[in-house]
Amino acid sequence: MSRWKQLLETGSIRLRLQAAVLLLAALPTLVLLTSFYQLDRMSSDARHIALAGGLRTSAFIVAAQLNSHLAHPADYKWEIVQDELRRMEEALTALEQGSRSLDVAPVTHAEVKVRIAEARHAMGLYRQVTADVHAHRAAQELPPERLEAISQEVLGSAYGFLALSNLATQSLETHARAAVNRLQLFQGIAVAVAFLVTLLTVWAIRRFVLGPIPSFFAAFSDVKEGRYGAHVAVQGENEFAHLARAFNSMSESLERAHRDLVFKQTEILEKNTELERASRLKSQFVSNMSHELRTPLNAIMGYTRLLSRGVYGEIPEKMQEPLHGIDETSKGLLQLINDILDVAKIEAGRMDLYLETLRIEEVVREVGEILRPLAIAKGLELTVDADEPVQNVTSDRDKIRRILVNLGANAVKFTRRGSVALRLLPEAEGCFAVELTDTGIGIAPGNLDAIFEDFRQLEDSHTREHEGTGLGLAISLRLARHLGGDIEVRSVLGQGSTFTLRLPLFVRVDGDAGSPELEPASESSEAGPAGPDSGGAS
Amino acid sequence: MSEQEGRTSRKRILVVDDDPHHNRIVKDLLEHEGYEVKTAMSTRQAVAEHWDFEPDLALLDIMMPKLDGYTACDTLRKVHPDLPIVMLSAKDQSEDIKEAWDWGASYYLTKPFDPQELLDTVRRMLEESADNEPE
Repeated sequence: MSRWKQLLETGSIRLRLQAAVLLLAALPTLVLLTSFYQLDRMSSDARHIALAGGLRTSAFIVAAQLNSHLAHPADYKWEIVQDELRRMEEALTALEQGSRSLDVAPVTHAEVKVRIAEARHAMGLYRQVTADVHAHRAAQELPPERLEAISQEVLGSAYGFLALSNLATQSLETHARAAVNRLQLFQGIAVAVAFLVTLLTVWAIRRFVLGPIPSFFAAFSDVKEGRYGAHVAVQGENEFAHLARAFNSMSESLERAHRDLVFKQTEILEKNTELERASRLKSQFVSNMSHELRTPLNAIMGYTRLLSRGVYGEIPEKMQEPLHGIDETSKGLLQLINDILDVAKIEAGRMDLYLETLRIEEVVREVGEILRPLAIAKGLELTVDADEPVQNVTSDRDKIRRILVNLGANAVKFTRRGSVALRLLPEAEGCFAVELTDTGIGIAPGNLDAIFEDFRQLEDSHTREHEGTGLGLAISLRLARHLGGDIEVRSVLGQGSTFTLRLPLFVRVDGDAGSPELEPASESSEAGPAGPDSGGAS
Repeated sequence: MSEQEGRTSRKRILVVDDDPHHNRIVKDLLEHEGYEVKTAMSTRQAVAEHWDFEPDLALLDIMMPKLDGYTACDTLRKVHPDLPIVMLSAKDQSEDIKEAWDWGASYYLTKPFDPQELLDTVRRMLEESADNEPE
């Protein structure tokens, strides 16, 4: 029992299904086979009944012959009697022992057998009587009274035989009816049993074949909802057990992968925090350094300028020039410190934008005014073309001005003779553009990218003539990108360069770009120099 | 603008900065222009040594050890509500300037400073202050 239970719970699902299907198929087959057997029996019964009927008919014919022999001796035919007697003999033998030629099995019912045995006995008598009749008839010497006696005897035995064969027939019929009833009952029971067995099989399939499916559903649902590592219980060694193992292994892999992912995320988060902290410290450091460097520079420049002003007494004429040199060098150093601080601020994402609605042509003209003295000082022609109508721009005025002044100062710096042109271009694709063209030394194609790098001045330009921090273009490019735009450069070595600043008409602010706000314009303008050139007094 | 104008007519300027060189330069420049100047290297020293000085204008640094220039500005404002206070700092970021406004500064200059700009600013602030006085 427990072995069956074990088989049911752990055995192969394929085997279980096959067993169930076999069971379902076997039932009707069994019922059909049994019915065939019963029907065969019933047709055998019918033939028995027919044989018994024939027996009766033959007996009746023999009796009639004997009778007619008494009444009308001329009609008597011994051949007919012989024929019928042989037929009766055959039928009796068939009933008693069965007959292959008649396709009849021997009678098996005890009651019918008794009747047949009685008929066999009566048959003996019958044969005797008919033989006697025949013998007497041949002798032609039968007295009338003897004839009468024989007649009575013949009739008696004929009727007795008739009665017997009647009984046998009846008995066979009763038996056949009973067989039909039994078959009907059997079929009814078989259908009922088949129905029950089918129900049982369906239940068994649900319970023992499909049983584990709900636990799979539960596990899948767990995994779907992120509870990785959900397990399905493994029972035995069948297909579901294999499936469960495969699922469990997958689930474990998923859990491992998930754990790794979370771990990596944490790691990345940690690294990010570290990087942010490092970046903050760096910008803090640069800011502190900037302050620490400015303080002594302030003293150097302060003493120098006081000396130049004669606060400490009259300055000999030939000392003016060196004092001016100290001041100029200090200003260069100050510009470098400012630039480094700007780079650090942009890198740390702490360069705030102050957005306002502005007319870009005004800014271009302002820049032209700032550049004009520089150009005049070098004997260069400066043209400013800001006539292109451009719609209102929302951007950071100071930063645009710084970029353009930077580019302009650069153009002037690297141009020995000729001109510098500042031009506002027609707006396109939501952007405005300002172009700065010079007739300067130009840039070799291979160096076009390098000029925007930090502390990069082209090697052959390291002369007194081109002094600068080397950060101007790098800062300008960063500022332009900070404002959502870019700077392009075209150049022919020895003929000049064209820098194009392209910026969006509306600066879009994303989360990392700082927190732009409208500058309190009135205050800042009164607050004096707060821009990058603040310290570099002229 | 010379020493002969007498003590009463000379404008008094208080300078607080932790850099002695800066104090010396500003003092030399302003005294050369005829102002009376007291310097201190900290807010505490200013309060301790120049309580009776009664300045007409103050020049304050921001980044000083212990009490910073914002606190000095706030302290001075409580004692002299109408005193023009000019912050003179190496910090030049707009947020520094904004904070100085919030603490009650009247003007803001960055280091390294231009002597002429400092003189112009001081003169203008003193004139504005004089205009605002009731008499």
